[in-house]
Amino acid sequence: MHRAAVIAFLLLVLMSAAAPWLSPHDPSTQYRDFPHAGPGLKFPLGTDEYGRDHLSRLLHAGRWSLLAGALATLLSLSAGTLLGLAAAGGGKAVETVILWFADLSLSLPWLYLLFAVRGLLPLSMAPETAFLAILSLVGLLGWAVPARLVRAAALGVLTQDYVLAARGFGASRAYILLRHVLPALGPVLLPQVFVLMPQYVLAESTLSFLGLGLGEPTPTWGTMLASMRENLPSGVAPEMLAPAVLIIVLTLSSDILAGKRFRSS
Amino acid sequence: MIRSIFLLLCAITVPIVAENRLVLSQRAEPRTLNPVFAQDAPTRDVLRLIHGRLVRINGATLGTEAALAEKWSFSPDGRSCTLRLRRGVKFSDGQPFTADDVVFSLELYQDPKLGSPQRDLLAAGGRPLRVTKLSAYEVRLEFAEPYGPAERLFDGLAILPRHRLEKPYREGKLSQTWTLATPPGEFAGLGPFVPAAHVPGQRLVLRKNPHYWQPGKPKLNEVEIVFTADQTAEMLRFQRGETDLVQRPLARAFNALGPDFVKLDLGSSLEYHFLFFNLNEAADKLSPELQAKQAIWRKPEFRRAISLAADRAAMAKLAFDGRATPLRHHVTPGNKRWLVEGPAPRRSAAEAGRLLAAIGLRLNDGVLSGADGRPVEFTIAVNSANAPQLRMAAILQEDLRPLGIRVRIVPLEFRSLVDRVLKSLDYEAALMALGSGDADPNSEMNIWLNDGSMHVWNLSAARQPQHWETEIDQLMRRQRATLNQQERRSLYGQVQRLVADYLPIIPLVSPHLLTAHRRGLKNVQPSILPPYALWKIEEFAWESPR
Repeated sequence: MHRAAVIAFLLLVLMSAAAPWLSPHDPSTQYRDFPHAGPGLKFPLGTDEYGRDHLSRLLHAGRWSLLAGALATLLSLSAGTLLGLAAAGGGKAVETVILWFADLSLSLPWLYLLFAVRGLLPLSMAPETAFLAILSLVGLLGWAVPARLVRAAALGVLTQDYVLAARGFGASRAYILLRHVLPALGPVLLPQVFVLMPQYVLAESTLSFLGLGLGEPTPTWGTMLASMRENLPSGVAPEMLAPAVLIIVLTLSSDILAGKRFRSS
Repeated sequence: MIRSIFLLLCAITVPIVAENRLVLSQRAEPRTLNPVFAQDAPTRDVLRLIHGRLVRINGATLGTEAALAEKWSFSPDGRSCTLRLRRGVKFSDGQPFTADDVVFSLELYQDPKLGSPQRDLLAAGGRPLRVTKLSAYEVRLEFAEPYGPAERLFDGLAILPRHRLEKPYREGKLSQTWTLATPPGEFAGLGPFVPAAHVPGQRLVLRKNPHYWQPGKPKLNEVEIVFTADQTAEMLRFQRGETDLVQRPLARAFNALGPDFVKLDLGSSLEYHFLFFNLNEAADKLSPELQAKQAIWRKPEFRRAISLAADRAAMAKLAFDGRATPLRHHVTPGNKRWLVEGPAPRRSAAEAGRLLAAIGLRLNDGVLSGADGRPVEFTIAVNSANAPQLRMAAILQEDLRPLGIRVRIVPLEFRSLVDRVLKSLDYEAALMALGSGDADPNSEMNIWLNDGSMHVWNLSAARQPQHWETEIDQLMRRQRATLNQQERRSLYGQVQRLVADYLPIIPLVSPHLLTAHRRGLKNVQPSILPPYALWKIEEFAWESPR
């Protein structure tokens, strides 16, 4: 099971990375005489409403979706680690404030903030930059869960004998956190990568569903799914579900990898 | 046992037969049930079912026809109109309708303290209408200057019961009267239905008005309006049988409807989708970069090139699944009374390229640049919730690529888009749609007058109108003050030609007016005017009781 998950995850990453070479067509070329075409020799997975090749778009979409997921995960983990460590080692007052903000952060409806931010961004900003800015914000706003985990794990490390010994030798708080606690958090942080990444790929889908995604003609799995929504009353062709299938594969393989990492830690 | 089951079935069936009801869906809830404060289309559409008008626009002929006023005549100079009211008409609470109600209603609409949106429409030459009661069933209206489309205005004015609203009006409480929270028993109207129940965010139930002035109508006993903001969800509810009629559905879903439904496509509606550039002259609000770009956008040749490059046929086919008509004019083919025929919209990338070259733009390595070497590029702001408009923008983006013009599409939440276009003026180009509430050009005065609130491409107060803008402004004012309809048509024709030539807005396509209803519902004759199929709702009936 674990091996299958590794293969699936790597395949997704490789397919997306090699999209320019694997794609049979330019993902943005509109074959206007073939809208909503079914799968065939010319278009293996059919075409979308503009007559664009579905397979080519699916492969290229993976690049943006995975990049968005990875970027948001990196930001989320960085912010969470920093604040989690501060909460664990910064004294009672710092801990109380950070945990209070974590509770607040988890209870606020951030979607409205994202709408407002998108409305305020300058229109001259390239859609790719605006999209990554929004995704980065989503990532930063997701600091609370990793911060709590890191705090809990760091508090455990801080009670270890070698840390107490270091403190006894007069090591500073910052030194202990960076030298002894941070390296010990690897087994906690690595599974979080696999937990958060599919979550942020799903967040990208949600943003695209709400029109906050990457603008045309660049595809993401989210924008491809968003366009499917309009077809619900008239029926959805199975090939249109391909982005959803890839997101499910990513989520399942990530979950298995996260579970394995968690158990081994 | 069988007898018990039969009785049980009867008990279940009889109330349904007695109900004889219609379930409609609407995408937004009305904001008020007081016509004086009705600003938005969903509110106005609901109020049309509750209130009567003096004269109404016939949805089929688009001409006017008698309603609460059985006759009316204008003085030869067009400044005065005498209306004779129908006798024996009663409000839904049984009180008689008289000239006092007309005088009172017009007083409300014209009261500056109430700020009714109808106030501006009633002011000819900027001065209010004078209303005089001649007898219990006769009223004279005097305009400050001749007013060509005067009688059409009456279609938008709900006549209100003086006996119900005078007290709150005099006490300054009218804005708190007839809200959505008002108990149903407090309403009284002259329309076919009266409010019976309201569940916030879900539904509004209307019951048959027992005193409706047209004998034997309405034929339905009850109308339930359910609110479904999302078009896809609205269509799914319709397909599942939860609603009986949908208006303006998604074209793709409409095409896929099965034999249980009657699909009606009236052809081009009055709505037109268009692209426009930010030509505002508010130097204090616009960035230097934007002002530099405007130098090119201000050239009519540039806008003509964009228009020539746009593949309108593809937009109709791909964005509206074939249920749209390519446009040359802002007046759509659906508006047969006012459209001045002209050649069909052309597409020629070669000619567009020549026009761009003629204004000094050069194509090098696939990038079009100006004399200063700056590439020609712009962003199109689009409503993120409007899938057809997003598609049109993507098609235009692809059409302009061979010309070397880079287009970026920025989907924005609708309110954010409107705010940028009408207030902050922070946008480069936008793709929007306008749909008149009437076929008459008077409904577009706010777009074409230089000081109009919807003069979208240039709203800045300190602007210096172009010669063609001044000409359009004058023609629109003249047609409004002209009584001869043929002459008005000729004047408005000149406006259409100027707009098509100088393209302050680049008309793209007009979506078709689509409605669908469940088979078995009779007498549905949609109009291209709002409220579309519902303009004759009093005639609706089920073939077999339900």
